[in-house]
Amino acid sequence: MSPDGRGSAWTTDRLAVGVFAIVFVVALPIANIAGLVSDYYLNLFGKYLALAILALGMDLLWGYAGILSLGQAIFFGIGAYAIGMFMMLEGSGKGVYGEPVPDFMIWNQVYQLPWFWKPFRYLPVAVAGAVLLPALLAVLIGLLTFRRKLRGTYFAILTQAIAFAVWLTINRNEMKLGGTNGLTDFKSVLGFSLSGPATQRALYVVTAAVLMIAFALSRRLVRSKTGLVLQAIRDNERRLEFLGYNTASFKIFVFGVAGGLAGLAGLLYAPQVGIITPSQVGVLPSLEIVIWVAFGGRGTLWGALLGAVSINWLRSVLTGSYPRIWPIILGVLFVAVIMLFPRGLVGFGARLGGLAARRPLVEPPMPAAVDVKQRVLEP
Amino acid sequence: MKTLLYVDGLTVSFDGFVALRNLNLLVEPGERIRLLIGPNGAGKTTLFDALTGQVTPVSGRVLFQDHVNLLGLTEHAIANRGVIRKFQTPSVFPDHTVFENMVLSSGHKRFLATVTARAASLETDRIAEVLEQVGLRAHAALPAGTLSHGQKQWLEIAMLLVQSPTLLLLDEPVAGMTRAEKDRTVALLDAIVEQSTCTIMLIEHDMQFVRQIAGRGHQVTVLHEGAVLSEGSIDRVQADERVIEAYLGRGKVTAEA
Repeated sequence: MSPDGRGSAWTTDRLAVGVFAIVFVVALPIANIAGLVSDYYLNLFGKYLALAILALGMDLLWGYAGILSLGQAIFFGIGAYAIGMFMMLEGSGKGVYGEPVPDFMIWNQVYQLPWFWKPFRYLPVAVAGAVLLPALLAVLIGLLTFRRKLRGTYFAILTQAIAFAVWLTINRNEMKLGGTNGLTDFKSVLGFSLSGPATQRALYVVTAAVLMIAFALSRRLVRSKTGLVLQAIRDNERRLEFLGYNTASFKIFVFGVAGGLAGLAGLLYAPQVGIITPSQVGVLPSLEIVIWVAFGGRGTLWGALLGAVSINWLRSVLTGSYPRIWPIILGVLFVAVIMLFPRGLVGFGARLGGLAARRPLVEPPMPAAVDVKQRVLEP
Repeated sequence: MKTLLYVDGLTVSFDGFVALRNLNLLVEPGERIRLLIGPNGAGKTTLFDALTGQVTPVSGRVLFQDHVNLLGLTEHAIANRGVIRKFQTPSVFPDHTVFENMVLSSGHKRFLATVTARAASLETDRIAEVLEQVGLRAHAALPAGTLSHGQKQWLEIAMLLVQSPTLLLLDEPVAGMTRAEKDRTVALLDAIVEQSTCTIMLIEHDMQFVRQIAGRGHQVTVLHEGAVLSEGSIDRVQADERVIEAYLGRGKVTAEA
């Protein structure tokens, strides 16, 4: 008896992971060196792959455990701001004013580095902080909500409220995080100029490799017993409690993992894009992450990857020509996918491939109605 | 251990509707099956709800194995103490395979133990054995949602058995089953009594099924309007004037309606 009864499907999946790794981690950068893929496109793909890590976390959380968070962009933002602060500090002193603080602080009459900026002078602190701070924040929110059995829509609304509050807060100049302009004008990472194609290529390779590792670990997680528990929480949390599970611990765990992955995505995103602003941290970007996952196919790791890459690619193409109607296109896409292909692109692909036939779509017949007269003791 | 389950003066009220009225019940350690019968609204399922932590009683005491107070414990804490329940409708996880349903039911439930669990630590042999017992071994790789109604009920019983319960609460295990499926369930219960040491409390409306089980010498408790009306062997209970009166009255109402 195979542990999950899905032996062959998983082998195909492993093959697909291998192909994906070879194409994105090895082939694309080589093609870039050879001049077949432009620096611009490689950088664009680096951005998409970073966002795919964000989607992966969302998929574990929502697609597998059924917990809808409308605030994942907060965690992404923490990761991006953490590495952003590091890069700002590495560039400080080389700016227009030559002061030891980032230029935007001078505009706000801040000449001393705020205390919370200081640890981010060190890359290990910035990198660890970018992943651990969002994970810890998620665990904290999880402790305060899941233990009190705050569930479903209430949780979603709460996370949205938190996202809005965070957005409002970091928009303020008093926060010393650059206000509405955010952090930008990054110059270098560890002395390597960010404008150099070699640095960008290295960042791309790191991003692609990290994505593959995150994917492999996520895949391992969803195949484990913990993964089974997470999916059972999605399907029937009450039932699982009667089996003896304290579901809150599992939910806090997966929310923490999703938060950490979001932070990791932000960490890899900011140096490649060169800017992080509050507009990428609030309610709307959080909602977009949900759309990526739904579009790609929730509850399948490939769906998260596919959704994040395809929608962001579409955005790059369409915002160039039709910036005004992009939100409308995104909305229409979302509604269309939910109505026509509830299982997203992956589900649609599976149906095309005839794979959906594996599972009968017809429900087993209703049990015969119990004879009501038999329900009382016979005289 | 003097008593397995000691229910003392249990009262449950839903916004003024008294579902359990000062209910007293005693189950001894050696007892194997206790049948709970009674008309709809008698409080049978509410009693299970109170035992498993789903409703909070107004007053009363519930002691499990002499000194574990079940009232006030959370659902998962009660389950981990060996009081395990099957619901009225089959509630297996439809998207998980039969085997995965069993994996969820067996082994460690604590978060850290689950996270560190390796494939080798899965109780595969035990799961296979229990699936064999309920006749679902051949279906191990199927999604549970594709099973027939009777098979789902058996799977759920298997999910409870694999947890090696001390007290097994079965709420209408044969509801909606065909006669043949009911007979198989009787045989399954016989096998459980023979092969394990757990005590089963069983709610059932199907009197033919109740007589089949009770005919093996198990006690029957009749609940009526939230309290115990009669208790004893099936013959004694069926001959009890109060039982006949209570049910005859209701039988009439049902017939008129």
